[in-house]
Formats: sequence, C-alpha cells, structure tokens
Amino acid sequence: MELGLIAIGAALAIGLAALATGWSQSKIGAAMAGALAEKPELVGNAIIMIAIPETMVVLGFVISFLIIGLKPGE
Amino acid sequence: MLLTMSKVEIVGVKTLFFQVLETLQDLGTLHLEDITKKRGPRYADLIPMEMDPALEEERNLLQNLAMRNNAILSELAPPKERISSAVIDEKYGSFQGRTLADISAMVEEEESATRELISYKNELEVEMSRLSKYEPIIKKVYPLASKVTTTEQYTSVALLIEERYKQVLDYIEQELERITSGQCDVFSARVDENTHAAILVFHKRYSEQVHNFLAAENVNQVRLPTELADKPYDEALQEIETRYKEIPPKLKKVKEDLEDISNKWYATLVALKGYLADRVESLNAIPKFGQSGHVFVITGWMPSDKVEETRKLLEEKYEGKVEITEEMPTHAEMEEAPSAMHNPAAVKPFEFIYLLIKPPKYGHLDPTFLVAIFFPLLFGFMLGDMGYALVIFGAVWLMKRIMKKRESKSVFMTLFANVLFISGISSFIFGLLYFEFFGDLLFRLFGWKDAAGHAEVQWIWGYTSNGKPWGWPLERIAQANENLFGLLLVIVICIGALHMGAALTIGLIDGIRHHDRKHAFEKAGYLMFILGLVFVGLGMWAFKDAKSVLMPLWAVMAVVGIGFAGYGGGFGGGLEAALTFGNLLSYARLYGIGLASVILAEVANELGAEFGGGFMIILGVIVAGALHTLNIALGILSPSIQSLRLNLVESFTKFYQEADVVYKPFKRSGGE
Repeated sequence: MELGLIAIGAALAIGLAALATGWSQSKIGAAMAGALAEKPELVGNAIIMIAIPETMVVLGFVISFLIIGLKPGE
Repeated sequence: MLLTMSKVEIVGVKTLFFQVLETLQDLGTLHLEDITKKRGPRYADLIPMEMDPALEEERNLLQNLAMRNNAILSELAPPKERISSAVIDEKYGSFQGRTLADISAMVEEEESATRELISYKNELEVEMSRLSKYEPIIKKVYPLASKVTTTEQYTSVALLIEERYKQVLDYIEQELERITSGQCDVFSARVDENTHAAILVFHKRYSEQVHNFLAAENVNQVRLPTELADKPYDEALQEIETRYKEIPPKLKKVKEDLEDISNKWYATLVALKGYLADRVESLNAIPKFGQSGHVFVITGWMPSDKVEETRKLLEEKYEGKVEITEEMPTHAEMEEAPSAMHNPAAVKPFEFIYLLIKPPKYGHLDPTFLVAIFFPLLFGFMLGDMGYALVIFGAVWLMKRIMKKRESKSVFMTLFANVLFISGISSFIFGLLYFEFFGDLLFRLFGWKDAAGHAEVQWIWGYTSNGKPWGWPLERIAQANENLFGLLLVIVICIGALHMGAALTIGLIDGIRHHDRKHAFEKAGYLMFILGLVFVGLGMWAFKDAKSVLMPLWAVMAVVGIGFAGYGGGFGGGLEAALTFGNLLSYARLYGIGLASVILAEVANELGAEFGGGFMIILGVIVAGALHTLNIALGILSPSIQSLRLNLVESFTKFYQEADVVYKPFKRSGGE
C-alpha cells in the first residue's frame, strides 16, 4: 500500500475516533454537570460516564498505530 | 471482607433506659433498627417509645445550647497550640455528670465574655472595610484638600477626572462661575498618571444648583461616608484619615483578648459541641425503641465478635437488669442487615472505591481485594516508568507531609495518597519490565538505540515455541517487532480475561452460596465464553500451525457458555455473553494509554535533545521537564480513571450488588 494512503488511514482512525469521543463527552459532560448541580453525590458516576467514550479514541489510537506499522507495498 | 453481623435485642428495666442508652453510645457498636417498622407477633405487644413533653423540652434546650455554643466557636480562632484529643475527651467526660442548668450557665458565661468583644471586633472590621474603600481617594485628593480652607458659609465637592478629559475642568469652572455668580473657587492638580483631582469650593446657597449641574453632566464626584457628607472636604478627609489610623491598634487589642479567651475556652467549647450533638442524637433515637409496662426494648445489628463483650459489660454494669440476646434473623431481616467492611492494611486504601459507589451488600463477597490487585496492576501496565514512579513517591511523600502539617483528617486524601503509593510501586515494577526511565532517557544516555530509534539491547531474550521472539526489556513502541506488539496485546487481553474472570467467579460463588441456580448458570456461562475465546485466541497466536485437539474443545466451550448464559439470564443473558467479548477487547486501552504515555515521554526527550549541547542543554532540560510534568499529570489522571472504569464497568457489573443499608453504629459522633 502507498505510504500516503497508510498515513491517511492512520489519521482517519485517530481523527474520527477523537471527534466521536469529543462529541460524546460534550453531551455527557453537559448532562452530568446538570445532574451534579442537583445531586453532587453523583460525582463518581460522572467521572466514569465521562471516561466511557474515551475508549473510542484510545482504540482509534491503537488502530492508528497498527496502520502506521504497515510497510508500504504490503 | 465484610464483617459478620449479629441481630441483637436488648431488653432492660425502664428505669435504666437512659443509662443504657449512654452506655451503648459510648460502646459505639450497635446499628439501631427502628422497632416501630417491625412486624410480627414478637413485636405485637410492644408500644413505641415517644418523646414526652419533658424530653421535647430537653431536646429544644440542648439544640438551643448547641446553636449558641457553635456561634461562639465560629467566632473564635483555634489556639495556636494544638489541642490533643485526650484533652477534648477529658472535657467531654466532665460534662457527663453535669446538669443542663449547669451547662446552660456555663454557655451564658462564655457568651457574656465574648459577646461584647465579638460585636466590637465586627464593628471595627466593618468600619475598617468601609474606610478602606476611601483610602485610594484619600491618597489622591488629600494633598489637594489640605491646601483648601473653607469657612462656614462655603462648602466643597471633590472630583476625579481622567487625564484625557481634563479640558472638562475649564468648562466646569466656567459654569460654576456662572451658577454662583463668581462666589466659587476651583483647585485642581494632577494626582497620578491618569487622574486629575479637583476641589470645587462654593457658597452653600448654590449647593443644589451645583450638584444638579454635576449630576446632569455626569461628572465623577467623590462620595464620602454619609455622616461626613455635610462636612467640607478638607475636614472630612482628615477625619477619615485619623479614624483609619486608629482602627488597627484597637482591632489588634480585641483580637488579642479573643485569643486569650480562645486559649482558655476552645477545648471546652469543642468538647461541649460534641457532647450536645451526641445528647441530641441519643434523644432523636428514642422513637426507634419499644417498651412494655416495665421494660424497654432496643433492636439492632452489631459485629458478631462484639456481642459477647457487650453482654459482659451490660451484665457487670446493670447486674442482670439488662440483657442482650442474639436473634436468628428471618430472610427478610437478612436483606436489611447493614454491611461493614474490615480489610487488611494493604487492601484498606482501595476502599476508596466506595466513595464512588455504595459498599457491597451484606451476605455477598467484598470485592475490595480484587480492586487491590487489579487497580495497581492496570495502573502500572499503563504508566510503567521507573522515573515517573519516583516522582509519584515524591508526590505522595509531599502530600502526607502537608496533611500532617495541616492536621488534615480527609479520608479521601489519605486513601488517595495510599492508593497512589501502591500504584507507584506497580508503576516502578512495570517500568523495570519496559526499562523506561522518563521514557527512553536511559537508552539515549547509554546509546542503546539504533539509528531508527529502536532498542538495540535485550538482556534476556528467547523464542516462544512458535519461534516468535520475546525478551527483556519489553519495548512498548514495538513497530520494528510486530511479534512483540502482538505479545503486548495478548498480555492485555489476558489481564482483561483474568480481571473479568475473577469478577465472574465471585458472581458464580455468590450464586452458589445463595442457591440462586440461574444466577450461577449465567455467570458460569459468561466465564466459559471468555475462557473459551481466550484459549482459542492464545492457541492461534502461539501455536498457529499446531493441529491441537483442544482448540475445537475451547470453541465448543465458548458456544456452550452462551447457552448457559441464555439459560441463566434469558435472551439478555445470551446477548450479554456475546457482548462480553467487546468488554474483553476494550482492555486494549491499557496498551493504548501506555503507548500514548511513552510516546509523549520520548517526544519530551527528543525535543530536549534538539537544543544541543553547551548552555542550550539547560533550555533542553527545562523543555523536556515541562513536557514530562504534563505527561506525569496526564499519566496519573488517565490510568486512574481508566483503571477505575475497568473495575467498575467491566468487572463490578458482572457480580456486584450494592448494600441497601450501610453499618452506621450509634456512637459518640460529635455531630460529624
């Protein structure tokens, strides 16, 4: 595969995953901020909820790293 | 682990009720139950205890005293010398024999000693804060005002005008001349870079017109305190200046007097605060108890190992007039049993997880030991770096020192520091495995890297049975060695399988212990599915060419697992079993976050190295240090949250049941 395509593939893998994570965290963050204003005892749940979408970007990063590891021509 | 609890009933002669209540509060082991909510023949003849008017009055008096005592305490600063808890305990004990009238008289005495001083101090502080607002104005206008002398018929107004609008002054002067028919004077001077001050002196009869004119023109007049508003400016400012200087020594004297009182009374007041709160709490508990004609009945739960001790104490103190008996709880009562944890010192810090969720339900296994094993393991796997571990140890030492200095008793901070220390040890061990010290700093310093940036050294190395290489140090950025990369992914999946497997085993044991066949089948199904998949995966990775007879067996086990889960948990259970595979794969985050951390560390070193030698090396170290600091901060935050998430979401959801009732003994709490 061409080096350029490998790079684009890797960038898409991390980039799209990061966008998705950011979008999800913005929604969850706003909702949790509202919930915390009424029930501060939910702080533990809030941290976990906000951390959940991070899986996408972390896995995107792993995939991106795997793609970069491909050798041109393979 | 969870403490074994016993359901107890304490019956005694009614005349001893208040003494027994005090004894139980001192013992601090009984979790009270509300007897009025009990149903059944055993409780049918019992009459709930009620607060009679005398007790109501006593409670009101206690609450009133507590309020007044707290008000005094809030105004006094704690003495510089630390008060030991032994002194407070001694003072607390001294209240136990005293009557409420006695205590009331004492509070009154304290109030009269402090009330006037506190109110005088507050007045001075208010005055000081009010006058301090005029300080910058005084500084600007006073030098000018001191040049102005007014007579009784004349009054004055001060203005502050920005430098760029200073030409307005000419206009104001002209208008003032016109309004007062020349009976006026204007003094102005530049008081700082941006401000001109002006004092307008004019006859009192024109006061209204002048003020109207200034208001209409929106000129910034200097306002003085109301009581000085009628005075000419020079006098008013002088008075403010004098008062402003007089207050600090007066305030100092009042504070010294209050400090003396605090030294004398503070310990007593703190002890009294606790005593009054405990008395109110014990009166509040009364409606939870039952009574018949001559006896009172108290029911509750206490740790089983405390029952005998309590029995002996009651026997000795009340000579058989009060008895404690252990009851056999019904199934419904067992559901309401409070849960209390008791873990060894090494596991205890991980009870921090119960700051986020409720403790485990009584009768189930306490998973704190699981968190104690896996939290540091997952943390270390992600942030494995010897250098970073040393920084963590330093941070923990600093935290503990600060806490000691501030005498902080924050449960969260204590647990956090201990968890961080244990996680730091794990980070150091994994750092040794990866041989990372601030990323690849050691490799760079000793030239152990080739031109492409890959480690050239491997002190221990070998081959798997499939001919795949492995070795130590385990290079995390292992693009050059795909097999090593694969090995790390296999390791994280195995860690995930162990983590989830341990959780499912707890769930399975819980199901068997509670004779819940479906629950046990569901958990066993998940477990079989995960194990089957992992063994198939491992077989394919390590023995790709081997025609192992075991491989089909593992595959069958995984499929049968889905069947078991379906039997135990219905359609949802079967589906959940299949989704478990996704949960397992999500442990790849361990590798992802670790990779992000080590890449950032290497970027820090690379950037530092770019600055070259000589004096530039200092700049390089600063840049690398800043990036490493950022990486450590992210490195602590992200692995902690991810580790927590893996524990709570991937592990706990497989078996965990939150407690409905948490053990809260009736004890001297001092209102905390």
